[in-house]
Amino acid sequence: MGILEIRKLSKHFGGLAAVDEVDIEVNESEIRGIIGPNGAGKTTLFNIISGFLFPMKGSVIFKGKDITKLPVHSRVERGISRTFQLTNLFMELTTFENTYIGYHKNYRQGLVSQFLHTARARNEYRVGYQKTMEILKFMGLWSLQDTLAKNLPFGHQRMLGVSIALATKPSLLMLDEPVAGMNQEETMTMVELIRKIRDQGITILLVEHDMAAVMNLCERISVLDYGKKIAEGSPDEIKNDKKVIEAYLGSEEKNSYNA
Amino acid sequence: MSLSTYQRRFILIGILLIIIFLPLIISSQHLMHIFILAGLECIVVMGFVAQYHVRLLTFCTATFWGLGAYASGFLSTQLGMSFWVCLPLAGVIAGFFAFLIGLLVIRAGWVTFLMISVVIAEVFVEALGHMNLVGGWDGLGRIPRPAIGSYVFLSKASYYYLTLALVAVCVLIFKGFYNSAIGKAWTAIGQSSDLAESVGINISKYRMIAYVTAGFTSGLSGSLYAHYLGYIVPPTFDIVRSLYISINAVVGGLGFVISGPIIGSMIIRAIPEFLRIADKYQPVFEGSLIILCALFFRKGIIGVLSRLMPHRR
Amino acid sequence: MGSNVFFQLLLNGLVLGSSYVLVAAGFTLVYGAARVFNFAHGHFYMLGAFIYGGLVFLGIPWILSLLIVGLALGLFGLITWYALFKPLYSDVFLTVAISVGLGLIMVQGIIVMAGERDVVVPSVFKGVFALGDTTISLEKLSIVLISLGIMSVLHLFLKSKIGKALEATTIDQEGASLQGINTGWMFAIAMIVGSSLAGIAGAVIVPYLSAQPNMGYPITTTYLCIVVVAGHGSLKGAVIIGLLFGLVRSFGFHYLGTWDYTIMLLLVAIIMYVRPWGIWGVEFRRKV
Repeated sequence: MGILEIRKLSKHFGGLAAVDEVDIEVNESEIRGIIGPNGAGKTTLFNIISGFLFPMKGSVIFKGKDITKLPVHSRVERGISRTFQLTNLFMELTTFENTYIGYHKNYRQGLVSQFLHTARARNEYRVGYQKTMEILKFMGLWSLQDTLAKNLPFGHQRMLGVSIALATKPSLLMLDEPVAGMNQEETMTMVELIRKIRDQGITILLVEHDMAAVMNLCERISVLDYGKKIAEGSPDEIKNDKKVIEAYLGSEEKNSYNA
Repeated sequence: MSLSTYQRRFILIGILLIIIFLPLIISSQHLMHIFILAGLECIVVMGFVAQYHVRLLTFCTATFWGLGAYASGFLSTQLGMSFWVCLPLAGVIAGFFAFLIGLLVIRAGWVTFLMISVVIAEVFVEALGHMNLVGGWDGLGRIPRPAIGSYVFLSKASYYYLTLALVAVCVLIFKGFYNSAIGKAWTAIGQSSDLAESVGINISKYRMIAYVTAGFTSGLSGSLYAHYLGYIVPPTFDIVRSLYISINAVVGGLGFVISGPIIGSMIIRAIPEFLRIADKYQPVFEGSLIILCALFFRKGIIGVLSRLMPHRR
Repeated sequence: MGSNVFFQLLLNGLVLGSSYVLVAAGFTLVYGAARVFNFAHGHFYMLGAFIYGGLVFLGIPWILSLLIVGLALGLFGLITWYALFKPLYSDVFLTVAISVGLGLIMVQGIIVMAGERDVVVPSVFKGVFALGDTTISLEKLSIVLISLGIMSVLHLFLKSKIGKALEATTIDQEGASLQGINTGWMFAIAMIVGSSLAGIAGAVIVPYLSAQPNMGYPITTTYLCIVVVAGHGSLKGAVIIGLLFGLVRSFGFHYLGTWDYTIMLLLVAIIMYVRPWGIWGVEFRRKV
């Protein structure tokens, strides 16, 4: 059984089925891609897995436990972390502070000892500090640690989003369009980093439109169209899958009619 | 003009000395009274700012103040408890009510939260007016003065130091939270609640902590207020008072969790004194001040000061 | 209980309810479309009451007075929007804070001009008429009918092109502007209509209740309760709950004295527990 299992997940908005009876199983330490034309339901799926939305039907099973009804913070406790499609950062805080807050869930001390700054609490803060530094160095943000998030260049802001998510020490990292808006160089850097993250034992779930990056990075890919899963397999299989090609062509046609 | 760390520290110590020796510098009893009220009020304002910090807007801050005042008044007059027992109890009672209300409303959106706070503020005064147990509209009087052994707190100076002590305690409480991981979580929630949630912060829990702490400290302040004045009436704690509290916060500067409330309360109490503004024009004064600040001084007085005198590191 | 008493209570409830509906509808428009929490909305109601009282006192016919009140408050709302809300639109709390300031000044202004006592406005529609064995005061009937008329006009307005644009803006601001709707104008229109409604609500009820500088505060509590229970953004809900609360207050006051408030609050508490976004409200959606 995979680390993450989605069974018959369904979510409707009004009359529209955003996610329609989707089954996906993700194996541990896998890099799984979720692709599909615009509006296929990818971000909705992400939101349901991470807990920002609740499904109407179906279940989400993580590490063998049913987490379908759990609130977001409980899922983070269990090891799921995500980034956002639209850059979402603590804009008025520095790069360091942003990442440091990500470590928050790992503090085991209770409220009282946190308030009193006991030795144990301070110890934990020290560990958090070190871990934050490690992540910043890993993501290449160490030299920018005192820059306010709002003053970072776009590519670095996206990197910061990932480092915040990493700071929670996840078992499953969900990246929502990590390389969107990035140039060639930044994309390559990000792809490399994602691979290295996986090599540390973290499972990666990826939504992305950049086909080159997806084909390069992902071991398996699930394809959604109109909320349904229409294909699943290795990059080669997906590249040549008739249904996938049709779905993308079809949406292109639609777009050109409207243009 | 920028200030070095050394200069800043010097100024801070100077201000602290003035605060400590104020009764010796000022002889006017009326002015002392103003400072005492400003001090008690700034505690409630700190609570308001703490809630604002986690994106909770409330217009019932005076309600918890009043809860503390009435609880303390009732316990001391009807049950004969000493002030030193009533004070913490008042805080606990106010904090407890904050907890109960919080259970209902913390999950709601900020607008609903604000709306409910308005309703609570109005209802509180009405309810008090109809409670004969605490004097109804006539108020609760003969609230005993605090005493230690045979020393009874009578002079304004003595109350000033009592207030100062209470403010110091509350500053310690709030600072304690802000400097800890709890404070970090609060800042995260205030900046982006979605992001905060996505890193595992339980928004409702941390908001509740802020809400209850604000209620508790407001209750403490209310207790001292009641014992200082000796006589309290329901309209003192109405929604207009809560509105004034929020105005204090904006004038001081919403981004500055300790200095903002203190300066804001001082300014709002001091200016009418110096300009000889009659009591009945207080609402116009407060109203104009907030409109002015909102339009032109969004970061409040402290914001203006920190721009004029930045920290030269 | 005699049917006479019942009928009177019902009528009183409708009278109160009509006024609540107008105020709540106004607030729903302003908050729903412009996303502005105008804390002075209740004081606009108060202002409408005083202006109407003054005009009627000067002998100006009621329908003209009502029209003037509507226009005056509409204008006042527009000025408030441009001078106070629009510059601060990005900061949610500051818009509330500034409306608080406005309210304080308004109340004080009226107190200075008219004193703090109640101002009793003479009835325009004197007399009663009999229906079966009950007597209906024409004053009360007129209030209900006039409010009905105003709400009908509002209903027709909302069906117009501008009205539909307003509705679209309420549901989804971004979507509306993408459709080519000038949301800036929509906000201004919402403020004009909403403020106008508040003023008319005050004017209409003033022969029944009398004008008082602080009357803005209790009505604020009431309309907030209505909006919380109905769900902010729902006009239909505001109407239904507004009337309901009017009836609750009327019957409640008769049987329970001043604890009529309590029933209203109980309803609010229950809704908060069961369905925090109101009966017709939209579930709190996130923008992820």
